[in-house]
Amino acid sequence: MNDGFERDRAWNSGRDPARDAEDSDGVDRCDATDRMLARAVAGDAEAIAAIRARGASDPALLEEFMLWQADELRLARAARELDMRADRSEVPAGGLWRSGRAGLGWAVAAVLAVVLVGQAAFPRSAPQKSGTPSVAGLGGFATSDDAFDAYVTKAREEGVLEGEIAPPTLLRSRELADGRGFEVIIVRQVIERRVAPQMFRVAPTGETGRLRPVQIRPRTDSVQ
Amino acid sequence: MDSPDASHPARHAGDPACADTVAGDAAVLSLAEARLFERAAGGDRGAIGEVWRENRRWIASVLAAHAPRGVDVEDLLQDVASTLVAKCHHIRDAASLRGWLRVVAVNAARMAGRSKSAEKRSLRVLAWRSRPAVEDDARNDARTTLELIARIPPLYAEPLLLQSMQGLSQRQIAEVLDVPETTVETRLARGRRMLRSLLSEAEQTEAGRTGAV
Repeated sequence: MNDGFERDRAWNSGRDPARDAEDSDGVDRCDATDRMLARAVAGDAEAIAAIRARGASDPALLEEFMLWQADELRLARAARELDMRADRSEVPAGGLWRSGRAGLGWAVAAVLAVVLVGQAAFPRSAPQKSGTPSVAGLGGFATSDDAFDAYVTKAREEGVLEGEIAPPTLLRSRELADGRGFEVIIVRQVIERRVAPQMFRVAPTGETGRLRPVQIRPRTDSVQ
Repeated sequence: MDSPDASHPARHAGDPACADTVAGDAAVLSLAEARLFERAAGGDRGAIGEVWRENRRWIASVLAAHAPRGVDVEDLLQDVASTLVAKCHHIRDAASLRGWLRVVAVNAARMAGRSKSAEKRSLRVLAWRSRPAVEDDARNDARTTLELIARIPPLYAEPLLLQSMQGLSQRQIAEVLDVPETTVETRLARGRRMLRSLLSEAEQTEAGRTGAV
């Protein structure tokens, strides 16, 4: 029977060796007692009665039934463990994210060379001169889409924009009650090129090995 | 555990088990389910999440039955969840969604088995082994059982897990696997016999180890 357990070998050969034993000749070789025990542990009243009746003259059968019931309890405990693992899984938050590489995410997290780029280090294309946001420059646009298109055009000219991730990621949608169609909540992402005067990576420092940001030095002073 | 009737893969409009309920209730349930699938197929993230939560437990059982040793079921669950998000809009028929999910789960497990990424596996094994040793005996026992189940051929492990862990009847398992009920009965008996042999073997090994100390 142990040959049937060589599951890894079965993966390699692309078929299950145990399947042949059952299906090749169509003959049911499974022991009738095992089938009765299986039905009994699953709660089949007839099978339980049959085991009781036979058990009077066959104590070994009762002992076997007891062991199978113990196995069923172990399976129930394993079920709880498996359910806990299943309940931790959720559908990925972003449509473009392939969580099939979950192991990669774990590995990436383990790598200490996580590069931090200070948000403040990013110079804005047109710094605000006052603390109050100004919309004066947007006066020429009829809609926000026009403004966005103008941004794309201008940013491409300046070499700031590399492209837009298409299609946008759909977060949620709902049908509008007035029959106008659907409201869709999407994420539009653009890929920008910026110059960061400073970059940091996280690295263990000191005797305690505590993680701290360490500045990455550019190789030359002529970095633009 | 989710209610087996609400979440098991055999439940759909054509399931005779549903006919046992009040006709009106069954109609409402199937309609609600069909609407949920419809919303999910239309890309509604909330509906997709709901479909996932309703099905993830039995999918975990299918994965545990088919995944080769050393592959984390949670990783495979994420694979299946991602596929659900990416491709559920291709599902036109609500009744076929669960069958499709099972195929996706089996394929994910097989792909993991064929993967040559030894490094990834070793990282996972390392993570597994480095878990804190404060877990109680019951959880260790459960993990041992799952590891032993991973040694049973999927042909027998899958019906065993669907019955013992998800509470499916032989008829429901036969529907899921698309095989005759008598075949399911035979596979269940074989699966339980294999598990008994493995547990007996493990108990003897443990007894020998304890006795040697």
